Amino acid sequence: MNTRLLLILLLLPIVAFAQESNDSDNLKIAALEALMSAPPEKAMPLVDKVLAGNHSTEVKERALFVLSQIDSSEAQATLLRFAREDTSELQLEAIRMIGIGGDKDALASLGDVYRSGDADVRDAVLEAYLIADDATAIYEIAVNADNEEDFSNAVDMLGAMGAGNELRELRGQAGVSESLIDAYAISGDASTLRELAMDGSDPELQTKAIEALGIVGGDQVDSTLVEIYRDANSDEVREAALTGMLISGHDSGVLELYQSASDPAEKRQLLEYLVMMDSDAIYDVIDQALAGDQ
Amino acid sequence: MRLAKLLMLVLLAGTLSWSESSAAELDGVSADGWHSWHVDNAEGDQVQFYVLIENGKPEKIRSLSWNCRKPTRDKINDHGEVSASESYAWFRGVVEDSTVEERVRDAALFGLVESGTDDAFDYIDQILSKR
Repeated sequence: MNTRLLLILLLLPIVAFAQESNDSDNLKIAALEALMSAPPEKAMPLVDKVLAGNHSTEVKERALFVLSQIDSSEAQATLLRFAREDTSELQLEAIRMIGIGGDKDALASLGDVYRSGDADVRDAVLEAYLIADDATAIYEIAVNADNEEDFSNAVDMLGAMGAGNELRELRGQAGVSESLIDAYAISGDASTLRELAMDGSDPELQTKAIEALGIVGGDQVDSTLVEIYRDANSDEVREAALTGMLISGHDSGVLELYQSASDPAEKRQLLEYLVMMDSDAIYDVIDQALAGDQ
Repeated sequence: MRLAKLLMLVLLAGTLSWSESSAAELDGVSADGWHSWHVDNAEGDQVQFYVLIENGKPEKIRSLSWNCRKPTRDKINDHGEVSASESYAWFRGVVEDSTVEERVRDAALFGLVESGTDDAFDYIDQILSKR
């Protein structure tokens, strides 16, 4: 018997077992999902049994999902127990499932889980609040953060949620920071960014805010960026306004600035930006140059 | 004499078994087309089931709470009220029929649970307890 045949014969039972195990898990998952249509008092003992038993992580994760869909305090208590006490991937899944379930008391309890958890747990709690659309809870985390990373993660989440009020409130509580400016951009808060873009008390944050305006984009922002460029009293601010226009794709504004500029070095820089933007306006510039009217 | 009594018992058992299966409302749920029935489950909830049979096999399974049901159309074979245990047995048959598509068998698990008998939950427990 050659080696390859021997290997196949040896592997066949393993492959067959894996397939059988997979089929068995699929059936268990379907059975668990069916329990979502059962009364809580009938479903809970069976789901608890799965969570206490020797099953694959996938099956147990689905059991946690089923718990999140069962309207009973007992189901929420079990989810919280896993969120607090488990140390495996199931802990993170239980936290996320509390977010999906959206039970107010269970969500409030995640605050303690966040404070005592490691980085993965803290991320999962933020995700749960994101899923539950609980911006207030994330705001509390940001306000009470004792390090930049936790603050930044919470602020990023608020940005993704478009939680404008909470982010503006944070400016008063924690001061302006780069992560806050990014969140204003992601949440589309042009008016706050415009305020920061006009504030020259911290040049670094000012330029960051100007560039972030480009991410928000829109006609009003485009006009503001041209205005900032024209009124700039430093090269850094001027360059940030150009970068903002590059990001928002406001090539007509750059062309307008090119046409009104008189300094050759400035004209060259504006032309470079038009090229970077792959703008058709460059042909207008060439036409004007060929016509000799610049 | 003992043998005659035994034979009588066997015959009687056979007759009872036959009469039970012949009385089963869901025996006809194998003819192509839509079928419908409702059960009054142990929770006191009424559930209406709709099943589409194609080529002799279940193709679609839908369930509605009694309050959400629609008037039965002419083309649906309405089997009326069926016992929860018979409904459970029918759905279990679908779950265990390996020739039926997996998505339909998964839907049958919902029907089985919604039939609401203790047997249904014991059966789910059996599935979940498999090694």
